[in-house]
Amino acid sequence: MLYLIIAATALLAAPADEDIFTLLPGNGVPEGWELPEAPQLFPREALFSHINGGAELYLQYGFDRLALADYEKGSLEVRVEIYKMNDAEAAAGIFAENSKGVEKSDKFGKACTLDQYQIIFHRDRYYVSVTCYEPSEELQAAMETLAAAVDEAIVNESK
Amino acid sequence: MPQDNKHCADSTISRRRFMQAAVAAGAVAVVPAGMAVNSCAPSGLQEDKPEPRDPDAVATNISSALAVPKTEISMPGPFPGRVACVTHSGVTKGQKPNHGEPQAVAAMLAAGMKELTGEKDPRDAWARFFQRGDRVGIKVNPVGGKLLSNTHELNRAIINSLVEIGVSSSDIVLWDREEDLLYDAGCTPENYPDIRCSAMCYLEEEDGKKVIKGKDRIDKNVYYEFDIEQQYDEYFTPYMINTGRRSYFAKLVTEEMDKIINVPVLKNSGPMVTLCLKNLSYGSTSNCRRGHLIMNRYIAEVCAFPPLRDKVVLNIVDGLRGCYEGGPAANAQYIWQSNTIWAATDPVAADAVCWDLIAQKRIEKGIATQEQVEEGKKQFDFLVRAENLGQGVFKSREIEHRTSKLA
Repeated sequence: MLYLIIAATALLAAPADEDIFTLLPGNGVPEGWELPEAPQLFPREALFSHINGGAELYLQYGFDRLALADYEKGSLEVRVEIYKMNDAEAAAGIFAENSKGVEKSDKFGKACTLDQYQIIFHRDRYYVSVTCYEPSEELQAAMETLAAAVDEAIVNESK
Repeated sequence: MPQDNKHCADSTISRRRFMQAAVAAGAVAVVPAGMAVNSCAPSGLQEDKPEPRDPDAVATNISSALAVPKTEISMPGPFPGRVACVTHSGVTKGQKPNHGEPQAVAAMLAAGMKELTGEKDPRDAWARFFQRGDRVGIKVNPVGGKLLSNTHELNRAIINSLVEIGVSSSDIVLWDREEDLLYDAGCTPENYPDIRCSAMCYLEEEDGKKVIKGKDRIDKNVYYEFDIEQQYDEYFTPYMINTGRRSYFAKLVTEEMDKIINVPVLKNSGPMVTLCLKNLSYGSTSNCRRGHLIMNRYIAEVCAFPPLRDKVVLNIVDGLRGCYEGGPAANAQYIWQSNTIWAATDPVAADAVCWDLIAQKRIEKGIATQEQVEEGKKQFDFLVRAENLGQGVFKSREIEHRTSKLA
């Protein structure tokens, strides 16, 4: 996956495409966490290479691009994915698809779901997923800090 | 295992070209028009559909595959309709995603193989399918990344079982279609130093840049052909390797393996499932995305070609964890610890049994109604098609579901 950083950003991404990266928290958010590698950008047609058949639904709703960043603290990892959809309805649609039957909260974005492994929410034209790979209080706190930071950046972008 | 591939090149497929439909790339969903997604989708769903096409009106080269006689190990193998199911309630307790308690996993695999074959010693069970000198491929499914891909301890138990009966570890390859997905799910040379990890699409440094490659890893003599073309853009084409009417099989399956163990992960794919047959068909061919345009046929017919039909001798469904919604990608809120594996030589019967379980879970969790599940099975009829092609047993009354519980 790391290789895609170069494939996606160096080969294809124009500077304007990378504006989405400004929504990603930088090093030190949360404290002690860092981005060991540059974030990755997946343009519309590249989504299939990231989630394979899962891409079809996003494309059907209206997908623009995805920014993906892996945050690390020692052996702990959290992945942040920001899906920029064509409009707010598309983002809400994907959120609805991915949260069917799951209890919602308003802690992040317009609506969110929280799980020990994942937080998902939508706001404006963005659908956001924050994921960890083992259950722990430290990871839960890190996921919530990152989700809050992305949410705030989206709010600020629309001001 | 040398083979005559000429039959696959003798296509009489129609020259009629169909829609360039670049938009179809995004418009043709896993879920065809009118299915559950549309019926419950918010208004954000974009109506960007291609012209409808009757899949049965599409010409393919399936007859060239069927013209090749089956071998004694061809699908559905020696146990058509039989599916051995083993559960262990503690196998994932306290374990990270993609991991299981090693001893419990090994015991489950041994029990499943004994139940499937009727052998008392698991080594005898394995020896019914594999022997020293075999080059064996283990087809995994890493699409769910670090949250929902193959259990490493199950991969390891399979490798150990092969080595124990004399298969050389240097003859074992863990593989998938895409190297970056494979590596991201932890199937790396570092984690599996004794065997090979390989893929059809891989990344290579060229002039200081990482470039996606794969043209040298497809077999141009062996392909599934149908008369629909789909254009991909500059970025995506390398992942598909080629465009046009042909989906070439990976050399991995045509040249580099004698036998294949298919190890899908227990997952839904919209209202259908991505299990044994889908893992094989989409994971073994180039230019596969357009396969969604005739998905039921693509899944069934690609698996009817000799490189898969005559080499996939065993299917082990990794259901230590499963997802009933959000698949084939991983959405944590829909993943559950099912603590189960299934063993079968018959991929159709294994898919049928596991689909029932996922469907039951979808109903239980309020994702779908009984009627929607039944409608989905009618619409996604790849198992019926596979049964008609002789790949296995779909009719539930003919399936022998053997279950055992270790703890």
